[in-house]
Amino acid sequence: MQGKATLADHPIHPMLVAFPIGFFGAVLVSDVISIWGNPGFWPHMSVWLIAFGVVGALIAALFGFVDYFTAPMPAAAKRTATTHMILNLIVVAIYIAAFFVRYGNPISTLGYVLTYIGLGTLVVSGWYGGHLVYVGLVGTKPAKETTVEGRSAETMRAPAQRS
Amino acid sequence: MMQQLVKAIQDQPLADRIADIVQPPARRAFRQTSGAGRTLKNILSGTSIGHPLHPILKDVPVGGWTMAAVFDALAVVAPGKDFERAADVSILTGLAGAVASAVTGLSDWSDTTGRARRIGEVHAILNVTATALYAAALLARKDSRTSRVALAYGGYGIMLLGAYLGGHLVFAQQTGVNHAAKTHLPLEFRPVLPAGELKENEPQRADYNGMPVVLVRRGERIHALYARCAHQAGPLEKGSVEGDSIRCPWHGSRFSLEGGAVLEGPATSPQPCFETRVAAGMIEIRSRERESP
Ligand code: FES
Repeated sequence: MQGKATLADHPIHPMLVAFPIGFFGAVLVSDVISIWGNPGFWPHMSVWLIAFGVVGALIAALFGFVDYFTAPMPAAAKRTATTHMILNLIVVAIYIAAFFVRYGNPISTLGYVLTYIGLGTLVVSGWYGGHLVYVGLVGTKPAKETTVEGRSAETMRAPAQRS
Repeated sequence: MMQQLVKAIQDQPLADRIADIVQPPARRAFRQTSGAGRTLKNILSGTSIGHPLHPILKDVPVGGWTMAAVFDALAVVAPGKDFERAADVSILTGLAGAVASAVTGLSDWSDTTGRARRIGEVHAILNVTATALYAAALLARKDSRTSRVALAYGGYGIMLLGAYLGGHLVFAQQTGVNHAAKTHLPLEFRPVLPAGELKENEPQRADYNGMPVVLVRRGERIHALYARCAHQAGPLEKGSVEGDSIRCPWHGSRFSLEGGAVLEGPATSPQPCFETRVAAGMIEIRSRERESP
């Protein structure tokens, strides 16, 4: 169930999501520190972290799109993938709005609200992404001799597979 | 190159020798059958939330240390205390996440065998090394900026190697991945076993078009679940019936006979469950859902 965007046999999209997750997560840390830290630095730091996060998200999205269109998925997994994709596009849109609001005023209330709606949506969306892999098996390609307690998991599951 | 690394590790006998020493106590520590220990295992496995927890927590060290790499680079371009401080905070956040990831990882690893166990072991060694380098980087900070940055980037490189192996565990070895997915669920009733052959509380294997199914009779009720455990495809027909649930013989996951819900981990996905009826002396089954998960 792998798409075409792979590197060394592993799907690229799940590798790259570390960047938007890292940057958007760091915004939270930076905002918290700005409560007592250098007011001339941390609020601005948050703004640039948001910008980097958006760039990272868009790069990850490119590989996500490739997988969306090339990875074979049963209907239920495809629905999960669609939800994951739409939520992520919403996340990017929210953070872009947050960037512009906070670029003018890094400590604007609206800016904070947008930032944390974005983060909450990201968590939900990440959940759907995990669901694709861990429940839907998308992105996985079982190693030929995967042994489970001495037996081949593939052989055991073969009769039960749809395709 | 990464594939070669995996090849070198996955059949390495030395890894087994270390694992044979470390795994049994780890198993004992994490595989509690009741009480708080059981609840803890459910949390560590991710059973309580329905997805493996370790791959979620690891985003904290991976994200935090990626940030540290960015800030250390920025501190070179724009010298000053602020970016250095941002890098320190990132490393510290990563360290906290790394400890939490390590506990969940050890718990997951204690239930692995074969290649997944060997790869998981090297994955752990690399990640512990990376964590140690980051801790050293924080300590070195006051004395020497250069050695600090060198330690941190060294840690990042090792973390990336460890992360690749972690990805291999999921994407190739299918560790933590639902093993009861993609089951071809029967949509119409078909006979699978003469009703007289199923004894009270004794799980029995049957087949539906070659798909393994486990049947359990409890009084008037007959339950049917997909027979390969969602955790790592363990044989549920060899498991034990406990009240209105069945326990997998391999790592002790427990599933509700009524709907297939996971009651205890390490499994995180529910077991596909079937509707049953008796017609003309035969037990017949069909899917409850119209579609596989
Ligand atoms: S295979 Fe691990 S608990 Fe069933």
